[in-house]
Amino acid sequence: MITTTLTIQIIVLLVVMITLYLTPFFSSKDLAFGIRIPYQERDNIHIKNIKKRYSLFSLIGYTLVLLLFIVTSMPLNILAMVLAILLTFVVCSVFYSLARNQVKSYKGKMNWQVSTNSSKVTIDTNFRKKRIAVSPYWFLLYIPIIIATIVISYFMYDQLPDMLNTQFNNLGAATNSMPKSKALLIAPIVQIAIALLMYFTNYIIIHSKQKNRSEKGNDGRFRFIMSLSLFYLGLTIQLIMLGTQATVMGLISPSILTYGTLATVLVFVLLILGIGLRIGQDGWKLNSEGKHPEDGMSVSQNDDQYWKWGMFYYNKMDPAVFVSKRVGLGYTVNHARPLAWILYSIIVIFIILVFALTL
Amino acid sequence: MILILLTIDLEKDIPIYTQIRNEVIKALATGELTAGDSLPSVRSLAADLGVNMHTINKAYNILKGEGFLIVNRRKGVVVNKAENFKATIDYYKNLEEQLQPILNEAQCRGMTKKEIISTINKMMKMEGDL
Repeated sequence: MITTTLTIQIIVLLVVMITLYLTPFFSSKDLAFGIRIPYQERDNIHIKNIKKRYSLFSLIGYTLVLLLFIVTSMPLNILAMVLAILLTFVVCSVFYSLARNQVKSYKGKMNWQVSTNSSKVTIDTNFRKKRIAVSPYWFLLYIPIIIATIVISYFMYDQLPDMLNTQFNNLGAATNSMPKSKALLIAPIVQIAIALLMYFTNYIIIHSKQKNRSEKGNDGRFRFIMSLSLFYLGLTIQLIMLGTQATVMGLISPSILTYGTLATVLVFVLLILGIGLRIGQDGWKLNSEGKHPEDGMSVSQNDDQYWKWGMFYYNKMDPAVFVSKRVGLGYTVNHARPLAWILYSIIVIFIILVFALTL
Repeated sequence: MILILLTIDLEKDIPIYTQIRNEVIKALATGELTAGDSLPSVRSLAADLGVNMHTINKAYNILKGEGFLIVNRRKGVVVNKAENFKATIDYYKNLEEQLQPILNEAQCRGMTKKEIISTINKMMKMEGDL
């Protein structure tokens, strides 16, 4: 049993490592570690070497973390796992920043021209009338699952013991219990919170800033696939929470829940990796509709300065609140907009509220 | 759903609201936009183009003033019926006033009437043209 837990933990660690390692390669070819370079220079020997070094050092770093985890880990100790994940993130950010700085200083030396088209913006005024995301009504499909969770809890309530087990170790033995009136509330509250979160994220997918049409890619197709994946993720979480409720009530065994959860998480991660590698951020790997971009010798835009540490978008001149991420998949906020900070606060309050209601 | 592309150049001397106005009128002239078609909201267009909301508002207000757009309570900003922006006597006068210096300059630079007309033919595609 102990070895199974260790195996699961190693799988989770590996999945985190692979995802983090691949993330820089999801973005468009004219972005090397978040720095804008000319399309023509993407396979430049210097850039290639920086990418190679990043790959080699990350690989060594992640292997060391993994070995350290296996050697020192006591599988029952959750702290070892948390520490390992933390170390993984440290390895990722160190080698990512190193590579980023190398590209940055190389760009400084090269003095690449900025494209004469850099000031041109082309957009499709019909963009949001197209099918770029699943309908918001789809998220109503979560409601029957939430109702099912509440209904089975309601009908089982009188037959259940006063105290219910809410946490289990890898041997299937209970490690924590709660009064049933409280324990049965957790799943429905999480379900409602997740439903709202998914609905809101779908809104962001629809409304975030449109990609400039003179850049390569199919933004609309990308958004639709992201929206579909989001819906799928939400659906599996709803079902996992229904399973959790059934486990707490003693209807199914904790190990079924564990393996079920692990399987769904793995499927989702594979889905995201597949999107990242086959479709790319903003669908840059897909054929463009409309205008075709020229593969330029010059930098398409000089927008590096708006991405603080290559991660946080801050552009006072841009009225857009939601924009595409520079590195990775999906969307982020423009930190120069007050609304972005209001949303952050709402999310923090929301999380605190969910915790307060469930703990 | 067809692609209606709108391009602006942030570094051009022409004000952005004028560029937007011209692009919308271009889409009307080519038939990409027809009566009843809706345009994006001010907020959405401003975010996509990365320009101030006032700029979009100004462009939309000019187009509304000229009769090209109307505000529909349900659909937002929509294209007006063609008969509502037909050329008026005032418009003819205005057109002549604006064309005069351009044609004069072309004449000064030695262009013939034929050359000017062929330039116009190249720039304007109309129904029934070959």
